Amino acid sequence: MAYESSQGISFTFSGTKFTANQIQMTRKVSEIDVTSLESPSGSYRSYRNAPVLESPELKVEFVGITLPQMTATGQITWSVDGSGSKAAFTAGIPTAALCTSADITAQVGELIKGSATFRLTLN
Amino acid sequence: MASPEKWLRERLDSSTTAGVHPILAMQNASFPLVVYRRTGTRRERGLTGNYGVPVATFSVAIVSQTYSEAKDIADSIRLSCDNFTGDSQGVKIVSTALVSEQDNMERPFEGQAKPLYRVDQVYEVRFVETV
Repeated sequence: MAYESSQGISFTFSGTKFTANQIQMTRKVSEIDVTSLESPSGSYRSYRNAPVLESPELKVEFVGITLPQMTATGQITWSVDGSGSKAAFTAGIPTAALCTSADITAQVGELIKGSATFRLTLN
Repeated sequence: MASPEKWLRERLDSSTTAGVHPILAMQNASFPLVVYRRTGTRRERGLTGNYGVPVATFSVAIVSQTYSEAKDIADSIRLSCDNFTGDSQGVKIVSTALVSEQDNMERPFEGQAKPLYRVDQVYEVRFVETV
């Protein structure tokens, strides 16, 4: 089984470096239900890919009190220690992004942590 | 070396005249006495490694020949340590919390009727370490 450690990945968004403890990129494809009255009774519904693509979404959890800038699209810059498929992982993530939501949480006994969601633009 | 033990020792020494001992008190140590020990360290990590702000757990045992004296010393130590933040003894303390406190006893020495009274406290101390 091929595997790659997550350790050694950091990222900067619009010039602000974030100390992330989790990053998650989601790609998804929209589908259209093309089931019709002509579909045989008892058959499964039919779907087709939508003609437009969904933008990938990036979710990040980080430590700190600085929220990503949310006023305009910015650039994500990845830094990866080592080599191998870990570099390929970040290389496959689009770098133009719009931060669409962010939050900061302060909790008793814990470091202040935040999370943010980015809408990525394919480039 | 910056360590939270140095900070804790200074706090204990300044809050009581009882003898303060790391790890273990000698058999001939006089009472009252205080024994402190790091019982664990939790190091949180991000994708780039250790954040550099671990949480050390310390046990502090206050032993006295009278119950009231043990309680008084325990309360002085609580006031000195709980909620402490700041730079001290070359270490930066980010947060301190007294998370547990309970009464206990040491079995009496042979020929003694009364036990020794012990108060056990547990502190969680987040500090800055070089990474």
